[in-house]
Amino acid sequence: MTKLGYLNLSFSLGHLFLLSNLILGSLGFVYLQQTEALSQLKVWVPSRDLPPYTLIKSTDLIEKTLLSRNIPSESVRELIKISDRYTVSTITKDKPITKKQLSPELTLDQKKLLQNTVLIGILATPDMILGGNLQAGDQVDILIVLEATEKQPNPPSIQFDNTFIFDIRSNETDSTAIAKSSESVVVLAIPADRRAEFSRSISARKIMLSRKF
Amino acid sequence: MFSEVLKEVTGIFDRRFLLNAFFPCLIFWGLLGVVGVIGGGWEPLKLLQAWNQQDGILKALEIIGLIAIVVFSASVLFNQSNNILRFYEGYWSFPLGRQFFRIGKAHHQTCLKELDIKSQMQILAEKMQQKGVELSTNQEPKKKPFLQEEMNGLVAQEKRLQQQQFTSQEKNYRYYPQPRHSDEVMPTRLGNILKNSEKYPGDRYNIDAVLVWSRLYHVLPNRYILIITEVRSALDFALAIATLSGLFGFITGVWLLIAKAPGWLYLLCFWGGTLVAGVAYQSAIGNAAAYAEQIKVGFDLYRHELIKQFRLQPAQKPDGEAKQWQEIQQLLYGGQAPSTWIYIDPDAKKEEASND
Repeated sequence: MTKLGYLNLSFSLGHLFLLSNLILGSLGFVYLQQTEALSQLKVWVPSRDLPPYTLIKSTDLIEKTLLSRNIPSESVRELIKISDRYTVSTITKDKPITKKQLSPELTLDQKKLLQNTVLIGILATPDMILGGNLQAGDQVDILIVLEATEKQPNPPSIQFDNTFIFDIRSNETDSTAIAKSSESVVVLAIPADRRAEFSRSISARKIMLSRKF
Repeated sequence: MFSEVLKEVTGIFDRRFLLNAFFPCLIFWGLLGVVGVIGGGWEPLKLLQAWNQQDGILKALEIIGLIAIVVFSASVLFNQSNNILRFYEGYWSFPLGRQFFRIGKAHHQTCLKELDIKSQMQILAEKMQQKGVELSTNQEPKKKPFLQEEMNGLVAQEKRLQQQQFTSQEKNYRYYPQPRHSDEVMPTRLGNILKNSEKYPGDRYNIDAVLVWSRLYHVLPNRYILIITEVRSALDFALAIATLSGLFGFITGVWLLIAKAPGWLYLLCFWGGTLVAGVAYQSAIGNAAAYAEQIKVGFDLYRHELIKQFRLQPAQKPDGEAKQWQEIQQLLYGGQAPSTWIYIDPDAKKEEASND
């Protein structure tokens, strides 16, 4: 209790509690604001929504300052590591880009290989993707074989050599029958001029993907 | 003291446990989990997806673990309700507790002093008497108007005090022990309300409340027990909410500072938690006043029933009653019954009445 002239000020514990609460709250808030200001990072983000399988050009990107807690740990921040790569899922405007959203980094040979190709997705069983060891960025030979019949015991096969695997998506989040059989969708880069041949040959035929050592 | 005896009432235990401990703990842990996830920078949707992808047995084990934590903490909260009440009353043994006690006690002693109209009137009467003497013996005509003005001021003050008398008395009756117990004032409002009910039987009837309550409890009618249990349950509920909200504000505040979470979230949790705790404490004060009132009612209405249970004749005059309780307490503490006591056989009395 403090006596100040005519004033008889008496502090209750409620007043002390309120005062300490206000002080602690304000101090904590100031500390967090300062920490936030110190933890900002410059990140390259898309300037527009990028649909899947789009080649990212440097003009599609802008540099933005974001709070470090808003940047996922697996994000790719540098321009050089983002441009000239393909998206494998939709990338939202102004959001940091993560590794999972990008195709593997392409070598010059792979870039050449992707020229004049179209992307085609096929359903693949675990044995076709080598029990899950086949990855996006791998190059495979595709052998499409007709079912043997009495008339044609040795049916002809169609081959697509050096095909680039663009993406492999599992259907685990899907509750359909496909997911139950653990099938995946393999996205292949097929030469544009052989697109029709590929489409014709894959129906009701056995497909085999093989990777070279 | 009163609460321990009330614990014997197990009829509505389950409902009390669920309402006062289980559901508050469930909400407490739920909110703590949500703030933990958001503050830690995890995305709730992704966590939910990850949880969904887990094995069924693992999910079941996690749910069982969560329920076990809630039930365990609820049991601790429920069983510690007396200690929680004592904490809010101001019985503190933690570091700095004595200093806080001193600050709180000084404040409430000041408040009690303001309610003690009788003492203030006495001091004022002395001042007025002194001023009256000064006025009558004053020889300087210049000084007389000033003295008269001072006298008028004292008269006005006396009027004001007379007007305040009833409200102050009422406040004193509800919230503080009598001014003569100012040394026993507690550091919190809630503590003083309960201290008032503890001192009330002694002030009015010379009854040692702590000693007599556990005996009086057995002669109380069921409807009274039901009411006082409900009131106590409401008090426990408000204190449980205040405790959990305070803990929530403190724990989340520390966690969000460590996790360097957004400032708005920190303020929301820290101030939000303490604000709810404050509101719940204010509600507890109202419940404590109702609880204290019921205790006073118990002594006012049923003390004679207890005397009859001792097979004694209730005293005919207030003075005699104080003496009678003094003797009963002497018997209970010292084991010596006064030689003047004559036991009454209530059954014989009934028989006589029926024969007539």
